[in-house]
Amino acid sequence: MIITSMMKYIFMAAKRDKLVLSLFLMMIIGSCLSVFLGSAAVIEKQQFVVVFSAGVLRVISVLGLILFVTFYMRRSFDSKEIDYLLSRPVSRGSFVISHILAFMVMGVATALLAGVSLYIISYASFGAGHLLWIASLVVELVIMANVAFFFAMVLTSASSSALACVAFYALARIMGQILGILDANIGFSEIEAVNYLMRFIGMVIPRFDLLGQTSWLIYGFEGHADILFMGVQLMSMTLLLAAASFLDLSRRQF
Amino acid sequence: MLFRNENIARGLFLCALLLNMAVLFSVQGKKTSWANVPPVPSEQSAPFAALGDPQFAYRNFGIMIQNFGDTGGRTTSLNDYDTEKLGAWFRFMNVLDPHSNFIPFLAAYYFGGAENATNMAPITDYLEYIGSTTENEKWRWLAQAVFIARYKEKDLDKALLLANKLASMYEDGMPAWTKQMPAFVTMAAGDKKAAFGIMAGILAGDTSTMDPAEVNFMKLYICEEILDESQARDYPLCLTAKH
Repeated sequence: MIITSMMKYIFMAAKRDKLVLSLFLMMIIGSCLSVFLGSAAVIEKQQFVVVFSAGVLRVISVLGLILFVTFYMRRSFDSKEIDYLLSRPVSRGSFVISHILAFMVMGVATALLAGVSLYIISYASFGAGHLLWIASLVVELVIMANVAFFFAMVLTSASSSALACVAFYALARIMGQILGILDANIGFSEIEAVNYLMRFIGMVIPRFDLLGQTSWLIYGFEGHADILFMGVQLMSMTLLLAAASFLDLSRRQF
Repeated sequence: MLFRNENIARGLFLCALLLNMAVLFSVQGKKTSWANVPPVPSEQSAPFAALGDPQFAYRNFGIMIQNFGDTGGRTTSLNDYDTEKLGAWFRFMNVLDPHSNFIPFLAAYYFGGAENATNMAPITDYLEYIGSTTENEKWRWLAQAVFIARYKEKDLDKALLLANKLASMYEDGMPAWTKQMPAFVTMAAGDKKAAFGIMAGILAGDTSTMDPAEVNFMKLYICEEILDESQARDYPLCLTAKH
């Protein structure tokens, strides 16, 4: 009951911040720009439009969620809303769980919004590859919303939290390339310790490069999509971030 | 202290605005320079630019290649491109997406359309490379390589090599001209005997899967293009060839 009320409270904050409207407008502008850019190609115009749109929609969705979560959380800390909430019969555990669940719902809703935009752009070729792309975007957004929640808890500034999230996201998207370079023995760095460090980082940073591949929108699965991996990564990362956020909150003195 | 007097602040604002306008006006005619085709990124690092999404990287780089040297009101003659670097870009793009026909199209019909380019070899080499795969009628790019080698590079030896490669890829369903291509090139080189040998060889083989129009075309080509009138009169096939 408390968790549901808390979730409603967070959705009201999203409504107050005009998150959906802002995302919707940004997605329309991004899609229009993609159509304009893709139409400039001499052939395969539709493929260009779909790929550009999907790439832009993904980035807009991720940035929108990161900015909302980090600024909402920091504002809640600064305005003592959290102190007030925790003075009520709301345990720290239910506080974290309700936020994690609310951000999950927002991640799903944002991915569906992006999916609808993608459908409008490519309804003629809409198929299983598109559905898989939307599903992987759900995974990506839910994880990133929870990453933003964690950073907003740990860092004291909304700007630095948002920047940390963007850096985390960029690293997660290119982690596969970094590991590929390490595996090819090209050497990421001349200092061996850095290579080991990158391998260690690769064990705690999610593999977003295996999600949201725009090639699925044109050529279908091609055997690269691992749906089981998506689900496992979603659960394991959410669990890790929830535990880390709870640990941080439990050590706080209000 | 200075901004306490509003008039001084306004005057300063106006001066600053005019100064900015003057500075920016002085550079309005300046354009960033374009030092020809840029170096190719490494295969490993390229997807970094598109956050680990090779297809997104392919489409981004694709638009960039299409517009090389033609941005911001600048136009560049097709003859002035560094084709060595273009060839490297084309091969690099094939790593990001081996299925798309966008880059082969640019190579064949856009960059391959240069009238006086000094070095078309990287483009024909790339088209040969792409056209050697059996996927989705990619052999058409090999045919385009033959065309460029023959008419743009004017290198008939190379055109014949490519044409032979194309002919060796022939299978049912492909147009007969892919098999006939070596004959066309040898005719262009003036070697009628070789051209005759190729065409007669095709006709002597199994033509049951070919369109009758293709078979008739080969007969006419032998009788009207390769053989002269007197030779045609003595060649039995020409007596039955339909005109």
